[in-house]
Amino acid sequence: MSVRSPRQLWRDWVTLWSRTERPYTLALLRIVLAATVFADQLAILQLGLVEALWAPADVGGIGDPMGVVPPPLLYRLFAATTTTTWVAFGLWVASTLSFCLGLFTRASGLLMVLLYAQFALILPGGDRGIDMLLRNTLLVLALGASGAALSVDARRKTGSWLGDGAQVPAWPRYMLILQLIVVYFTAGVQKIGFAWLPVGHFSALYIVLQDPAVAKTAGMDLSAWYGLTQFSTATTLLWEWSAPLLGLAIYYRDTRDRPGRLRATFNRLDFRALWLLVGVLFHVGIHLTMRIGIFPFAMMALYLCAWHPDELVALVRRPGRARAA
Amino acid sequence: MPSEPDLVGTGPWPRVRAGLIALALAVHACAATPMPRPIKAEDARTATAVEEMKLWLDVLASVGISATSDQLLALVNAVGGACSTLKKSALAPFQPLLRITGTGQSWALFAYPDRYPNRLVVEVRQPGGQWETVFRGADPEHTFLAPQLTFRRIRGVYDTASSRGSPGKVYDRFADWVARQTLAAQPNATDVRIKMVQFHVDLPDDGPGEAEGGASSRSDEEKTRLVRLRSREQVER
Repeated sequence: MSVRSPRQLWRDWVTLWSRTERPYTLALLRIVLAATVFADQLAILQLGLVEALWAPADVGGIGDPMGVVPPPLLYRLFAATTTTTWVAFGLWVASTLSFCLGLFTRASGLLMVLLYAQFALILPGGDRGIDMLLRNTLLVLALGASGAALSVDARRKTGSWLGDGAQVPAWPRYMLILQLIVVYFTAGVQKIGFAWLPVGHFSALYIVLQDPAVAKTAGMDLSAWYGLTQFSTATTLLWEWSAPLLGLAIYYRDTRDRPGRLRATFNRLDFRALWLLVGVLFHVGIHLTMRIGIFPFAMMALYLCAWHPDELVALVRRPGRARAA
Repeated sequence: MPSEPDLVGTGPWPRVRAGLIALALAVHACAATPMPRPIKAEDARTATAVEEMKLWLDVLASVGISATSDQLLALVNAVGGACSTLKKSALAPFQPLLRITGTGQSWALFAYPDRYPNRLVVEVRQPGGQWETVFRGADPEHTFLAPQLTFRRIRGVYDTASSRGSPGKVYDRFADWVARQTLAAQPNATDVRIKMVQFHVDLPDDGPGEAEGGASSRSDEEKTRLVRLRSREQVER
């Protein structure tokens, strides 16, 4: 294998991030991730928590935005009142819906992310890891061409909801694949509490499932299920550590016509689908046993980024041929 | 699926875009890199931290390294402090952008399962003076305000606060909010008490000294902490 010069490496880098593909995967990601945020917003509204979560402390909020240094821009630009809270929340919901529908996609996406970030600053304890992940991914989708298909914008510009089939930059999808790998891999390597390790008897999930704050199973006697929770703990850890292999599997699918036994094996097994199937089982398990809201749904929605748009097209046209695409 | 890439863009834009992406990836790679952090003294005194520390000392002793918990904590804080400073310095120029977009990389999900979890309990005092439980975490018999208190964003507030050595002012404001909701729904109640009941999760394979015969999931010993009392006068003021 020849050694590439820095100039050649830079050219490869530019080429990689200049690749294009049809916009369907990005469009689907836009729809499902924005719909997940919208569902969360509806839950907040239904539970009557808008003011509790994001109003200033002196008018009943749990957070203390004016105590943050510097205070969130929202309450610096506008009066720190419940009216501001409600207007901002209304704009956040409207921009989320608009982004989901693909109406003024880029502008509505950016507004949605910026307002989402303001709410995170007002009450950091109420902003969970999944919220940061959603902002990361939605910002990438807003900056990319996620509105080029399955959107009102596409319909207005091309006369078709599917757009005109033109190629769009593929870099947002590549960045989301990297994001997915980083989330799982770094979550795995940071699980250094003893309960995750053999020395702690792989007891992590057994312990988590007894926590009244998050577990639907808290208060139940789970001792009969201890072995299963130990197996699940070890599997979770190994699966998270193996996240970089997902990137390798996607790369191998993208270069399937090149030689190599490992590449051929990965593609024959469809390692990507297998790895993500474990992820689906993991998140369904989390949803059934724990009370952590949108987390499993947002994570599984993000799995779409592992599919090239041509594969999605093949899946829609001839489901049986999707594997071969 | 094409193996040969279709490329987009002409002129300098592809190179500018590739450069910006390289910068964004570098910043987020720095943010995502797991590094040790210093531990506050009060957090080091929590039951979970004490237990983890003891286990680490046992592991170190098993390979011939003897240390005290104070020595190990000092080492963790020295290394964690240096790493934390390095990371903060590297990210400092980009912090305003990360803050305004609410983006970043921090994915320590359930890194340290808590063998001393807290159960939120809300009680009201009736005119006769007796206390009555209206909410108890994971108890189907006491579910007042349960949809709100178990919602991930509200749960995040008290769960995060209660797992620290000191819960901070946000826990007091949370207690104020719970008291307002509770007294509004309980017109006869005179006071509200919000508290955390901490218990120990025993493992089925714990030794006899640690578990009650191994049959029960948890020890019966519970510790009440972070009690906040709010009277109707206080709330209505």
